[in-house]
Amino acid sequence: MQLLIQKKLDGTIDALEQTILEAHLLTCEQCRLDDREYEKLHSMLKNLPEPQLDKTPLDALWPEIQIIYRKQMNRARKVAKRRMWLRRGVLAALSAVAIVSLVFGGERWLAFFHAPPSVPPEVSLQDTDENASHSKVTASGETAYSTFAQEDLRQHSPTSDSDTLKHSAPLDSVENKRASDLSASVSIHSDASTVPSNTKGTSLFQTDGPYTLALNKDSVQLFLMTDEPSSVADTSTPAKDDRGFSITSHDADPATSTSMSSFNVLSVNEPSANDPSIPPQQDTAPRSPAYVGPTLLWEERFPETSTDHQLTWLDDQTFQVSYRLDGSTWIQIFTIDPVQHKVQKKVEKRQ
Amino acid sequence: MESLVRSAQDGDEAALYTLLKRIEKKLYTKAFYMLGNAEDAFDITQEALLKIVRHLSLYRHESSFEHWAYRILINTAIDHLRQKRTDVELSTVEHRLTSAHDSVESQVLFRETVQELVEAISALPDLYRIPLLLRYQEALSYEEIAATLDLPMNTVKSHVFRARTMLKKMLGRQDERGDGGEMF
Repeated sequence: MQLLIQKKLDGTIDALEQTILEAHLLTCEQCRLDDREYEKLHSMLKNLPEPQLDKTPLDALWPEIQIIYRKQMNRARKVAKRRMWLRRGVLAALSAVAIVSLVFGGERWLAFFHAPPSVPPEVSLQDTDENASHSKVTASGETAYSTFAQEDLRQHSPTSDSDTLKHSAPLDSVENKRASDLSASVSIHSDASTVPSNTKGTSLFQTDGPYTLALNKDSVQLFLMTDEPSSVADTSTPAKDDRGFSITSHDADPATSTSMSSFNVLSVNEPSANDPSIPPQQDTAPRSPAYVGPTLLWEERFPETSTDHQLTWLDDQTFQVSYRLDGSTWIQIFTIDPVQHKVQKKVEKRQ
Repeated sequence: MESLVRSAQDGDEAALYTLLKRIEKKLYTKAFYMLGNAEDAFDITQEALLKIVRHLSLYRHESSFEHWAYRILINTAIDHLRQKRTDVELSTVEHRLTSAHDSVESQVLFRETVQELVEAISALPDLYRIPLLLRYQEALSYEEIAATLDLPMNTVKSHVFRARTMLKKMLGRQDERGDGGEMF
């Protein structure tokens, strides 16, 4: 019966148990007494008095709590500050990545979108000398820099009475390569930044004049070292000389370019912007209005099986190129027209 | 209360003091009944206060702050009891209670029924006292007590029933020794 009484206290007694208990209590004096005592105990347990507290636990502990609390708050502030700096750092890093992407990726995209929509047909400069085939310029470049220079040369190199400039590949395929080969596009600037000061595998030959020759593994390049903006470099409107040469500069991103990340080339028979009868050919590329830096004037590729490539300045406007081919030594002497910056082959002989 | 908690969480020291002052007495009362003596209750209340301060930043306002603080105190008290392992056999409790009545002073002290009950509760073994107090002081259900103490629910019920029976028995004996009349 005591179990049923306690279940009644907890409110877990069911109807049958309640009936049984009530029936029993009617007849059992002891159980009625127990029931009353449990009820009183239950009531007292629900209203236990507060014990007397002489000294408060909090006041005795407060100095220690203050120390812990202040340390905690300082730590929380530091964590919050660290999180703030972390957020700022992430934002700065993202911004830097975005800027770098804009600078380099932007150049690629600009080069892609501003590539000339059409290219001129193959240009041939027939060499009057029967051995002129040795001085054929091919479309394949050793470096991305020279590739671009050659591409531009193919389009714009000056016509010579004595030289032949032949392209072994259609220029539009070269342009397609430019558009698709993004890594090459990026390397243009890294290579360009080292030319003419230093390029791996390249020997530089300078004169007292404004010219520098670069002897590459399989080609010779002539650069005009332009320190100040000149008529050669100023291509906001392509200049056209009296022989039909026009000069243009290629700069992927004028806003971000430096003198070392740009180069100029001479163009051949480029349509004049002032001539409405001739549609503009490739002016979609961004141009630098005030270009400063080396200008590729001329390039000639050695025959594939040639060896012992040598380069010598004879004076500040004349240089000699020599190489060995099929047991013979070939010597070519070139002169530079200082006014037109045009290269002419004067002598070619076999020894 | 909740605004005080938020201020304390934000570093307001005065708000923290006010907050702890409000719950201090209740914490001590629970500790006193659970532990059965004033000294342990004082120590455990302080320990619980420290835990509350240390974990204040973790309080997420999902339940009332008082309830959260009481749970900290209960767990602290239970840990304390488990460490002490002061379970006392019923016979020992009865001996303590009976011995206390041997002196005249003790008999005077036990005149008041509530005081008798307090003494009887403190004399209960921890195994029975804790679930009884959780049942009455915290108004927890048997399921909640079982979860808190990590005991089967039927065991908890049995312990509460046994605690009531022991209290009734002890108080009845005191009454018999006193005026020989009815309990309470």
